[in-house]
Amino acid sequence: MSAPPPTARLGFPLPAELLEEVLLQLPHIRDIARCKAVCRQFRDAIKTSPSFRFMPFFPFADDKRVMKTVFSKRNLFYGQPSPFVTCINPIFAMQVVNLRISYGELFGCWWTSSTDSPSYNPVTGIVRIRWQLARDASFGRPRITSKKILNMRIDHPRVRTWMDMCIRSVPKMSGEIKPETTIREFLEWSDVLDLDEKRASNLFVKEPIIHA
Amino acid sequence: MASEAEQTVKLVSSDNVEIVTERKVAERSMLIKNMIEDLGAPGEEPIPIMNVSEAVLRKVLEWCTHHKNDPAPSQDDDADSRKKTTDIEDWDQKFMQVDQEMLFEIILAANYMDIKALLDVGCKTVANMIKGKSPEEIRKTFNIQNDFTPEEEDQIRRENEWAEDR
Repeated sequence: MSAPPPTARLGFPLPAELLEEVLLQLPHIRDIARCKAVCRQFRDAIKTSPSFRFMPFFPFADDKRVMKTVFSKRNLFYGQPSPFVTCINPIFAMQVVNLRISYGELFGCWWTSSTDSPSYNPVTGIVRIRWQLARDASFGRPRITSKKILNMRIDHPRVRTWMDMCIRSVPKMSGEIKPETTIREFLEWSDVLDLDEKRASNLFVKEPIIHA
Repeated sequence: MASEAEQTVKLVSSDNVEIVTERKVAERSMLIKNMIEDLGAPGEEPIPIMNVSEAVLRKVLEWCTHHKNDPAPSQDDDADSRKKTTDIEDWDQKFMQVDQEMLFEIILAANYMDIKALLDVGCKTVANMIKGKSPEEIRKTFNIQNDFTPEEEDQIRRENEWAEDR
């Protein structure tokens, strides 16, 4: 008598907190997105995890460890045709890592430039600003130099919305940031950027890292 | 009295098998380390490892033996320990070449016994099995049933459009 065919188990044989540990090891956000489509257990683990907590439209992550891993792999966005995703701007990476900005928001940037995503509402200033910065960087001819960005006050109309969002997303920053704070001060204060080591000229990538 | 390096401890698996091992090996587990400290007399009282069967416990102790001289993990190396999924040393990779049931049992045991480095290796191994695969391939790899409704699948497909090649 032949053995019965293996029965598909319902779900993954690890509890949610260990599944999350596994997901945190994935270096590529595309893998996380695909995991969401595996089964309810995976989807719920991603949706409820503090590490991926803002995921209604895009996979956000506010976990520094994940984002460090993600951005340490420069082929993160390989194969994507968008100029934004073929060229990662380190300042964005650092902002995401350290300010806990979502990479979903970053993706939102190029969605607005390339297509109308039904799941994304490109009406906020955050998107417009980010997209602008990303596009500048990816074409290698920045209209706003990194130095100018760093010296912008955080209440500059072009960054205010974004900063508001940053501050809201990191509650401990509330009350610490003043309108006259510059981006440079903010980055230094929040330990985002070691300007001694990372020269401002390196903040933008001149060459696409991976060609689509 | 035996020096700490020579001391042994008795562990009792969930299926009631007694395993004697070096204290240094056993203390890779923070659970056991804390129990030994609480008990105060290592080697005399058997330490029950309630949730771990003999086979899994022996496997975990094999890992602990190989890594017994590794530096103790510090609180600050959290980020470093999560570098890349491919960062698994050769010995650990070979160690993890077990069937899936055992792999998951090792992960569960590492979690229960509080052996962070082993937990990381286990999770990285599973992550490597997921990496680069489609949802269907992931289901197949782990024999997982697709329990989404068609509507849920549609929704996720829409949400994931950005992640696929265009």
